[in-house]
Amino acid sequence: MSPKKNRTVRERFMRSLSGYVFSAPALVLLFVFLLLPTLMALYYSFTNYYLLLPDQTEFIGIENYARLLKDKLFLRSLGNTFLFVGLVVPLQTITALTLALLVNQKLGGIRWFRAAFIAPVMTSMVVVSILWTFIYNPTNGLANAVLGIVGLGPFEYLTNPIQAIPSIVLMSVWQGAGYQMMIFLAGLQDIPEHLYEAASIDGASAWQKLLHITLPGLRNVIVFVGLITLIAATKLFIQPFVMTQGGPLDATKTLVYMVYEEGFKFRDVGYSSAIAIVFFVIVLVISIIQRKLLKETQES
Amino acid sequence: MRRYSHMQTILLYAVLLLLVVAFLFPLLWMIVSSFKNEAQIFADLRSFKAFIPTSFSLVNYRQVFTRIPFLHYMWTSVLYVTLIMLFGLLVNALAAYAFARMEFKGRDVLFSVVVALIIVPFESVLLPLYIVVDEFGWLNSYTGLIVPFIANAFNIFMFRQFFLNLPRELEESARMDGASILRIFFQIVVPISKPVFTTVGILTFITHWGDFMWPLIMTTDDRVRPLQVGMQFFFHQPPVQYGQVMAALTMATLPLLFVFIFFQRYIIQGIAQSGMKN
Amino acid sequence: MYHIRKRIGVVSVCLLLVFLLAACGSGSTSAPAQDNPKESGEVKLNMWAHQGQEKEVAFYKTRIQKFNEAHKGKINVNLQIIPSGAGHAYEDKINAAVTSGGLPDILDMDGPFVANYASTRILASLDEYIDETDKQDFAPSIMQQGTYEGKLYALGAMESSLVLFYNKKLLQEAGITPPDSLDKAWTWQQFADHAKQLSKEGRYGVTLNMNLGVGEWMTFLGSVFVWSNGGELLSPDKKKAEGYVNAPASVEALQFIHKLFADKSANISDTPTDFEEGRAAMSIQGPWIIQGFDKYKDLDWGMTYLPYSKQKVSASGSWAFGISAQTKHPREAAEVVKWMTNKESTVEISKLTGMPPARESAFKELPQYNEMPLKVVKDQVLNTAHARPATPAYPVLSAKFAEAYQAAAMGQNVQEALNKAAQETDRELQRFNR
Repeated sequence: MSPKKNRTVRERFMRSLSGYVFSAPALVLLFVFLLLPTLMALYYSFTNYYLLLPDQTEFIGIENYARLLKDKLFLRSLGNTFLFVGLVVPLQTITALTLALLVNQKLGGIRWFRAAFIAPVMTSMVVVSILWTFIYNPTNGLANAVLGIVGLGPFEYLTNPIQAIPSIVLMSVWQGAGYQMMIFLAGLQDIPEHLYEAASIDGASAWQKLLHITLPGLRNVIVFVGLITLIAATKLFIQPFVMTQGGPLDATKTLVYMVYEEGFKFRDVGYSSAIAIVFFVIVLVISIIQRKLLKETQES
Repeated sequence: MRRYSHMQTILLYAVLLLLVVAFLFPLLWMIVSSFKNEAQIFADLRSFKAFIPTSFSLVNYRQVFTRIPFLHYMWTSVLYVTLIMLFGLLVNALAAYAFARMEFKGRDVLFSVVVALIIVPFESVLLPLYIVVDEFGWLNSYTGLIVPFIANAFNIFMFRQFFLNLPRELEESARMDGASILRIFFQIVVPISKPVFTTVGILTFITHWGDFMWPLIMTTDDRVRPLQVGMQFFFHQPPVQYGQVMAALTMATLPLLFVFIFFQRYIIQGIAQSGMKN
Repeated sequence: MYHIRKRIGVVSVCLLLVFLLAACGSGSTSAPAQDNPKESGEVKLNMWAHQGQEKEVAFYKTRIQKFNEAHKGKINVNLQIIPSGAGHAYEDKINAAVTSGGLPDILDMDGPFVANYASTRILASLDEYIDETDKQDFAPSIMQQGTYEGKLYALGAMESSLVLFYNKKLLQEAGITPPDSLDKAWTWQQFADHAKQLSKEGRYGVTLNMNLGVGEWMTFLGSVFVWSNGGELLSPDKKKAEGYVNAPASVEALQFIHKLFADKSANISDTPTDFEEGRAAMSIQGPWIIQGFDKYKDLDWGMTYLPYSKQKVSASGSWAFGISAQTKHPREAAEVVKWMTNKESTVEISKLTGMPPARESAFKELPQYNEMPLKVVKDQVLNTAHARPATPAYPVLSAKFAEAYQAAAMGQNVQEALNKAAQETDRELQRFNR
């Protein structure tokens, strides 16, 4: 055996070993704090685990899932979640895109305009939710006071079951649009300048440039932004928790809110886990669609 | 370069200004109201005075400090979020480097598990995670706030993408010189990977700064209670006074706004890159 | 040279991280305090109290400080004030702590939750530590709320009630004289008429304090109306909600609540200081609110009896102390409970907060309860108090009833909302009735 060969064997072993050593901390943590809890949630969803009486836990089959189908509150929460998603995703994406197009202009002080739109992103969702609870107060709130000057309103906002979700949508768009705007801005700057120049020479209007150069150039980014907004929106929790406690009349109860409420307020870990699994499946389906769509856009 | 006529420029500025007003008026109201007393806030509500400091007093701020340990909440948040970020950068980058550059049995399977885990939303494992952390005896502790969120499947993925695109030559030549793998990683790979470290670091910070649900359920006293949860409690702690809450909100917001102004370039790059990399 | 320096940098960053993690790990959790026999013979105990009104919290702090002075070298209590937040935040915290060993040795809890904590073995019985003669001195409602299946689990320093506050100036302007004795208490109809009369632009007749959130407050308030109308929340054996919480008497009671909002006598989106700042002429609130009134120099307030329908009923039940089943020092923990509920404590908390004392002997030391306005509280505590039902399903019952109350306030179908409450409560009861 030549010393050289001996050395490569040892080296290969060392490299292989260091592969495990390097990845072990992350893998162990992911296993213990993500994979294991996922499996536990699945298991608990078939039991009647009560948080305060763990030793009385029994296996009850699909009872929790059967209960879900009959639970009007669950169906309502599912509907509310979809309603929020359906409103916030297009609204936030379009707002963000509009802002990005506006601040992509080469104007003096544009940096400060950009900063203004990102400012709400830098506040946290909890802070924003508290602030807007005051703003939305129908009798002593800023929103009705301001709208009153222009002769609109008064609206009931969070105290009205029909207006509550749209009110939360509006606030969420205000808070989050700056973030997506940044992503769009980066996408806009990737569109080659010469395309616009060529179009100008051909005498294209600003509108035509937008339709035929900007939007197609942003296609990937639009799909991406839409989908991350979509997934984030399904997790709606902080706003209803802080602003409405799920009310009025369950109008702002969401899937994640129910996971929290059933699990911690009512201590019904089993039922809460069943809701969590349903939520997980929904996110999973969205993610699979996302990957498919992204692949398609990359190929096209 | 596109050029605009004077009319167009003025129009553009007008639209932008209108939008800026729409985006900033809530924050302006918050800051201005924090210096007013309760009666003044309500009295000014129905006119433009709502946005003008008609009176100036620091009473609300003083009240916040006597009623809640505000600075401690702030410190707790800064500390635990920073630690998640630092440990996260280390742990996730190491793992990503292993997946990108090292050959070991089961690597591809393990990596596909990591990619699959990106999908799992934290919200769906809330209760089991709570029970696991409880088993470790970490409820109501910094450890419980930090450790479960150090490893992040998506961050590993981002790091790996970046490392894969690095030229191998530098690492190869260092290896020829007999440098250890650890040394290659810290002295060659880390320095040239600054952009991805900045991006991941900033995204981690922004994400966890807003954390609410987990600290809400697992912290039970002020010693380890982060700002977000502390704010929510203050908001519901009688007597609720608009002015005091506004003062607390303002204090919770301004530091991050300053951080943003100073690191604007990096934050914008970070957010933008999170989109481009996919 | 450059490389070496850089390596030192890397190593020291790593060391710093490890050090920080270790430092964080060590300073954690508030599990029952461990006594350390090597150090001293002093027993260390942890205690939780909820974040109530400012003066109430101050009372907890000073009383515990005095306890520690009086028991120096024997017992030392570390008191933590836990925010109660909106709705059920404090109860959520207890859940969070229970799972394994996170509970303090002594904790306080709202009266109706005692049954749930007793049935889930969070609390240890106090029976062997409290004398029978001492038990006699407590108001019957206090003993009732602290007892589950024949055993005593919790004792409080204060009772509670629900009263009608009014703005003297505004009522005088309207020519309304509020009742000054229990037998003159307003009926619902009279109350509704007056509230309507007092409402005008920018001001409404009465605040029901909806801003306190959909939680225990709405149940505390709403259940009184149900009882006054001859209804009940649960069957007499406390095993069934169907046919009680959703009976016609309950539906009517919540419809009356709706009438107040429909008349625009009450505001569904009120703000916390509406009464104090004159935006509401009357307020249905607990006496705990009194301690905050002195901040409002312009407020000239009075207090009167709750209006009634078929019978005069007032709310009862307040925060009480119990000892954790996990404590290693039940005897010492019980000492703390006794201290916090002794005569001195009950007199003091009452003086400080305006809440009625839990002991009948304490009333004798508090002559102010023989005169208006506090006479209202005493009359109600001694004559019309009605406790919320002691049931392990209380967390669900309370939450669902509160939702029905809100539904009623907003003019929704009351019967349907209460049916839902009955159904959910019965499901939860099954868990404990097995």
